[in-house]
Amino acid sequence: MTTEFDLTRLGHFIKRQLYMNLNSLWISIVAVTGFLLAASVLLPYFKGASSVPILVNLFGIVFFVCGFILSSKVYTEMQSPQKSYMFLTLPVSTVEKLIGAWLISSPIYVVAIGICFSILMAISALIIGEPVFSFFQSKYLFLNIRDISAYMVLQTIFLLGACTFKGNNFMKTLLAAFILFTVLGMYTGGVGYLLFGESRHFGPDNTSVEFRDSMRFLFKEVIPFLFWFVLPLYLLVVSYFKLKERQV
Amino acid sequence: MIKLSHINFRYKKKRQLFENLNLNLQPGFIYGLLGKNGAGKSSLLKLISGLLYPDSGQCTVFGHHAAARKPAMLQDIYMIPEEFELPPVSLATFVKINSVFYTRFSQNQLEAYLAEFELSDDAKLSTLSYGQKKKFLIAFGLATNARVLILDEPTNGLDIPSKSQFRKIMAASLDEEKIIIISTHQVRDLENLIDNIVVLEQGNIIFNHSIAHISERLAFEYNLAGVPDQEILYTEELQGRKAGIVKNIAGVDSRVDMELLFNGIVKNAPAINEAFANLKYEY
Repeated sequence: MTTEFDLTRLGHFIKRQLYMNLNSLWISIVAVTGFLLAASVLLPYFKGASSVPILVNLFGIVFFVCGFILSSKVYTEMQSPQKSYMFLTLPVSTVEKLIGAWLISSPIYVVAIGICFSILMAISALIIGEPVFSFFQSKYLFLNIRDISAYMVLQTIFLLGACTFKGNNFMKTLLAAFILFTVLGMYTGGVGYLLFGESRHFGPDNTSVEFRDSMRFLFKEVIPFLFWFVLPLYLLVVSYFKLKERQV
Repeated sequence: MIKLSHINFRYKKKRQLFENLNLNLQPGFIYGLLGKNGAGKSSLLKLISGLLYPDSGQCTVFGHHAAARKPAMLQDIYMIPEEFELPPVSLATFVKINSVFYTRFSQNQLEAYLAEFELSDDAKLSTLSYGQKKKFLIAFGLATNARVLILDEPTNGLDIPSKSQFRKIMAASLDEEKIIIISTHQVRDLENLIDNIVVLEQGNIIFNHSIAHISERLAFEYNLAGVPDQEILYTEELQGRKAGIVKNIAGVDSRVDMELLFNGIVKNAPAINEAFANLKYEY
């Protein structure tokens, strides 16, 4: 167990992280489950089948918010000066620390919450008076592959925040993301204004076929590719270096 | 061995702490790292354990770069800081989830140390006092069999019997492969325990000698009446009398008074070091 990456050690690390944060994890799980259980029982009881879209949206929002908070707190031990020494001197490589945290806050989280939410949806379906397995119908689907993929991409932003900030990581990451996207939006708007002036016209009259094809290619191929594949990988690489450079 | 070569380090927006610091620590010894508040003791320990990175220079621990924090190096180093927080789990759970990372961890040794410190492994860490938590960490650190054990103020919070147990356990746990570094203000707690004294002052090592050399070269007197001035290296008032450090002219090994020695070094290091002038300096 001395190389940079060892599967057994990774497994031990994941187990350790879950055990070390067991208390706060349990409190969060009980609080969120209790809230959703109440919603899953009360909404169908009072509103019947019309409550299903509300529940689906509610579950979706809770899934994203809880996941982002979990990602922000996945290195909580590293945020406290009294605990960070133990985390940083643990004989686990930086790659394993990163992969372990990513596995906990992404695939493991998605599977765990998927099972938990499915049980709650089944309870709602029963209260509405539908067969227990009816929650497999599309109207009950609170998550689809696209939602999960979007979560896995956006979650890496919060993972980077967990490696970067010291304390209040979730709020700080939100603020940093808000400022970044505002600046990016203003820059894009400014560039658009410079390109198209005050005509505000972006169409066949003043653009060539090549330009339109380029724009179509950019928006339909390049940007989705950058968002779905390059962005999360880039953020994970930056997180790796942030972890590696972390000091007490 | 631990080797610090030409270390330069400063905290952000603060003055330079270490400037061209060089230090070698050899296996088989217990080092006492002494110094006043803010001298840089904790920072030095953090540099050795890879928790801080030097601005320039290199720190190696048994050939591994400390700053790289590779698992192979981290398995060989266990640090017990002055201030720590432990998770709200039982001792047994803590051991179960953390011991797996240390390949030389010995459950038998841990049980022996816990018994010595009168700790039960079914107790919850959150219910233990600060001193008991510290004793648990010391027991766990020793049971990892890491070759480097770093203890920052280990006797803080320990009661008098625990301090004796601590000294006994530390002395028994040392072998020819291990380096134990103990940083403390409470120099009396280290008496009869350490082999070498390293004194830091404003980021500089102003003294680094073995207890054997010290007892051979210096003598500690509690009444300097009648001692010729040229033999006196340091004096201080002690209950109406003059106590101090004198040259050990007779060459008979003397008992080292750590507190007197530390005061002498801090007040007048050149005079004390002069007594070791013909010895090969280790830094």
